This record gives sequence, structure tokens and C-alpha cells, in this order.
Amino acid sequence: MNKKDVFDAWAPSGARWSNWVKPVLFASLAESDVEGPGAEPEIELELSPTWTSPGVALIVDLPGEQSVQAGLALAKLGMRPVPLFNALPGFACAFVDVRSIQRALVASANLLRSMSLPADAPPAFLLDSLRRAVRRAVRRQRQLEARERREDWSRHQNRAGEWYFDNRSLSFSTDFPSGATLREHGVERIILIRWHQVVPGDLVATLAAWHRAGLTIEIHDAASERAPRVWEPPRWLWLRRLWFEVVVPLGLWRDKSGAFGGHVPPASG
Amino acid sequence: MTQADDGQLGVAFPLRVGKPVPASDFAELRRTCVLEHCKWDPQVGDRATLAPFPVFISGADWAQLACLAEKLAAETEAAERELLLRPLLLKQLGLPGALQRQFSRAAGAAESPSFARVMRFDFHFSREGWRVSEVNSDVPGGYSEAQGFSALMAEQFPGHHLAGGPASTWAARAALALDPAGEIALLSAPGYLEDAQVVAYLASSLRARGMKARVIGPRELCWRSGHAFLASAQSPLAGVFRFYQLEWLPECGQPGWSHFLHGAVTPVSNPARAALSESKRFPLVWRELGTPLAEFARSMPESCAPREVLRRFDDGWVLKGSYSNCGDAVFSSRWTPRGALRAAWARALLAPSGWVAQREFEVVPLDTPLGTMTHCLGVYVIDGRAAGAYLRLSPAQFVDACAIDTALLVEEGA
Repeated sequence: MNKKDVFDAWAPSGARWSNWVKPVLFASLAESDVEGPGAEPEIELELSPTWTSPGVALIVDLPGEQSVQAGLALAKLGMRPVPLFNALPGFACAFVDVRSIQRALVASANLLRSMSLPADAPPAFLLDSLRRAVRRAVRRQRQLEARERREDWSRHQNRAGEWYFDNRSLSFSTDFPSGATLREHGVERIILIRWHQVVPGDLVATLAAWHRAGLTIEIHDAASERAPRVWEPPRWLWLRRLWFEVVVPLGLWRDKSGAFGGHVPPASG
Repeated sequence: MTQADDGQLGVAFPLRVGKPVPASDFAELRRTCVLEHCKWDPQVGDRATLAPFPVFISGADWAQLACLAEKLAAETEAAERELLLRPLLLKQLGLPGALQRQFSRAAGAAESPSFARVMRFDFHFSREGWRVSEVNSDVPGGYSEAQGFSALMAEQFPGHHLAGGPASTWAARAALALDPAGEIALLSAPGYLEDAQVVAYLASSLRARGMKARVIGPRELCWRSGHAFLASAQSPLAGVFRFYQLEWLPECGQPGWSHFLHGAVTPVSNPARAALSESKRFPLVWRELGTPLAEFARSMPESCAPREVLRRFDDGWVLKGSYSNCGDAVFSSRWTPRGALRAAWARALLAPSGWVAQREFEVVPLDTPLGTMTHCLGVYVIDGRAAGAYLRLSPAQFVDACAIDTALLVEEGA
């Protein structure tokens, strides 16, 4: 197996949603990453029957490889997992651990291929809920890992306390098909699956656009037995737009990631 | 009117659309492009961003365009150097205050050393011939599409070749200028895959030449006594490639960012002065400069301050943000809804230094297998020599971030 085979398993030619698969994690696979089949991932997620109802498309927003595992479980029920992982794998130390996602993608490839899903299977878009990891949380996690390895954490830090590759990423509405395209292919309802019912900030614009296109949006908390919640665009969305269009251009605010000045500018050049 | 009617044009239409590559071959080509050439955004929303057909240009037409781009590049560099010595003009460019202050402080002082200067001129073919709408002077992208994707397309069309390889040319120039044993850091903003793919592709071009390259975010870079270091390393870097717009640097809060302007020992690419010509308000200071800018005056449509347009009660202008990218702040009555256009003009009048008005011109559309498209042909100039082309097509009336990347191939013997 090589990275082309792994990519083909997740984005087979002719499948309806293959063009949306984000290639970065597949492109970054080294030869050693794809040697041997690897252990097939275990699926811990309890699947709700409503997730595979007709007319439903899913966004699986779970931490790292759990998202891949859920995608594989959903594939067994006839859904097409569509990986939308946008983070660049780093070197030894990275903010967001995407190596585990890569390993899960490789390990699942043969199984996924063997399922021979229909070309028009409904999509389950896979995201890593840790993509915008808060720096403090990452640092704490790294400290714990270093302690487990009995290493001196401070040895690895510079004076700013940072020594790892910042590979956090954002999900944009352009990563997904439009509401019109989803509806054209029979999707009426979007279910967002998370470990809790809070919608991450970078998904709000996507969900709001789909809502405007007439799709119903629901949020399912996969960790509890709480009833799913129907999502409506927040009333303060206009205030948010005003903030981004008026306050931010005046240079009065800095993005929390510290990665750029102002709010989410478009890509360069 | 489209290119089919080029009898009505003042000059012959230089672009010709080729036949699409068969679907199964193109699927294979697309896969190679995303897996091997760092093209990580082949789909933007509902739009596939790789065109399955090429566009051809004759060797003579390409040579003419490349020559024009080289002349414009020479003028750009000369104008930037004069601007560095005339800090009073910087205010007109719409630079953020912190950057203006740094440039003013550095006026007359030696700027930080630089290597492999790259800029990309965006050309459009109009009834009057080639017009240049802007120069992407600070952080031009599109290397993977202009080189990797276009080379794959060229293999499908014998008798045609690439207009150039901007990534390999840039890497070759970097190799000439920098310590071959040192490591080069390629800086981009975390979170943006479109930017990450650019630096990843350039890093792979450097590695192909046996050089060490590392992709980083701004927090991983630190400066000691003018030398750039990775935050986690002890030895200095050989060079820093900045795919991070200069106007963002003051706001990212990292100490030492002023080394990109002056006081550095480590060479940087592009030089900070690139941000001066990157401003869409660059044409507004031409009259004040002693540098001759004859090619710019000939090729670029008239530009003026937004208030001037209102005073003239004139129509037919495009409103652009001073530091806009990928068409994100480009407004015109031809494609912007009335409400949004009014809001944009209101913002331009409230903060005039952030905007410029450019005279509209009619781009000759192309008939393609995907319908009628407008085009934008970016020509790279690296260290003064034309080094390739990045062609984008759009079914809308202007080319934005959702444009379709298309291979421009030069006809051999034509």
C-alpha cells in the first residue's frame, strides 16, 4: 500500500463527495507511515439510528482519530466518510497531534475499500475538534506527557515557553458543499456530532449558510443521552458581522490565535 | 464579445483554449497534483479549482508579456527604493501606523539583506491589449499551480511547454544567495491551508536542491543580535522566507519583527519594502516620485483616491482595499449588490487611506468548455527575470479566491 492507495480508499474516483476530501494528511504520508496494514481502529462511539436516516448528512466533529473511527463506523452503515482535516503535520512537536489521525486513516483504508460504498452514499464530513486547540490546554497536555516520560519539561521550552510547531487549523464554509448542492442530492437535515452541544466558532458561518439554504441543523451530544438540539443561527450574528467589519479593521482587536492581525484575513497572494 | 470575435479587437487575442483532458486521465492528474505538488485546495465550495483544459499562448506573445513584466519589475524596485528614502509619502499608501513608524525610523538606514526577490504582475487582456491591474509584490502565491499542475498538463499536450517554473527558479536563486549548509525557515500564518500549501511546495523545491527547509509559524521565529533562529534551535537560520503579509507582523505581537525591515544579518525574502508596492494605493504616489514609471503608466488603468471619484460624480470605477488579497475587497457596480457597494464606499470615505479607486476596463472573456470566463494572468518575475505564469479563470466578472487554476502552455515554434 502507498499513499495513493490510502487516498483512493477515502476519495474513490467517481464517488459524489470525493472532491471535497482534504488531501493534506494523505499528501504528507511518508513511505514508512503506510507500511503494513496497521491495527484496525476500535469504535467506541455509540451510533444513533437517526444519524443514518434518509436525507441526513453528518458533520462528525470529534477529537483526532475518534473522528476517523466514527467515520468508519458510519461507513459500515452506508455513509461516505469525507475527511476534512486541514492541519499540516508538524515535526516531532506539534500543537495538534495529526499523526494519530494519519495512522487511523491508513489503518482504516483497506476496510473502507472493502465496503464498496455506493457512489451516491450520503456524506459524513469528518473534522478534528482539536483543530483550534487552545494553547494553554496544549501546553498542559505536553507537560503531562513529559512527566509520564520522566523528562524535564522546561528543557524543551524556549523563553516564551513555546517549542512546538503551530499547526492549528480552521474550518471554512468553502470546505463543504453549498446548501444548494446538498439539497440537490437529497440532503434535508444536517446533524453535527460532538462531545457536547456547543458549536465551534469556525463552523457558525457554514451552518448559518446551510440554514439560510433551508436545511435543518441539529446538534447531537455523543457523550450523553441528552436529546438533540435544533440549531438556529444566533441572534447576535449581525453584531458579530458588525464587529468583524467595523471594530476589527480599526485594529482594535487581535485574533485569539495570535497568528494574524485582525480577523481571519483571506489567504495571501 | 469574446476571443472568438477578435477581429473587433485593436490587437489579436493571444490566448487560445485547448481541449479538455479525458476525465479518467484528469482524475489521475488531479490526484498526482494534490498528493505530490501540495495542491491542497482543489475544491472550494462547489467549485473544482483545477481546469481540465489548458490555455495556449504563442512563444512570441509570451516573450512580449515576459519582457513587459520584467520592465515593470525594474520600475517597481526603483520606486520602492525611492519610497524608502521619502517617509512622508508612506502615509498615502495606507500602511498600518506601526509599520509606517518603523519605515520612517529606518529611512536612510541600511535595509535588512534579502534574497530571491519575487513579484507577480496580474495581467488581463483588454481591447487595448495587456493591462496590469496590480502587482502582488509582497507575498505572491500560486507556485504549485503555475509549476506542478501546469507541468502535469504539459505532459498531455506534446508541442507545448511551461512558461517557466517559479518554484524551482526561486529555489535556485535562494541556493545561490544563501549558505547551502544552513536551514531556511518558511514562515506562514497558522490556520490557513492555502498559505501552508505554498510554503510546503517551496520547501519541497528547496529540499529537491539538497537544502534544508522548515515550515514555521511566527511564534517559532526569534531574533538574537540580528540573526534569525528557530525558537527551539541554537544555530542561526540561513534565511527566512516570509509568506506572511508584512502588514500583519506588527499585530501578531512577536518581538523582533522589525528585523524584517532593518537591523537583520539573516537574509529575508521578500524584502520589507515589497509591502510599499503591494499597496493598491501605490499608483497614488507615482506623481511624487522622481523614478520613471513609463511602463506602469502605459499598462495600468488610472487610479485615484475614493473621494476624488465622488467629487467627479463619475462611474466606471473599481473600489479596492489597499491591502486586499484574492479579490476579497474589490467592489464594482458591475458585480457588487447595491447595498454592499454603498457600504464599501461608506467605509472607503470613513477610512480613505485604506482604499483606492481604479478605472474599470473591459477584459476580453474566454470561451471555455466550462462556459465563458474572465481571466487573470499572473507573470512571476524573480530577481528581475520572468519565471513563469499563473493563470486563473472565473465565471464571475472578476477573479477571486474561488477562481479556477488553469495551465498556461507556450506553443513550441510559434
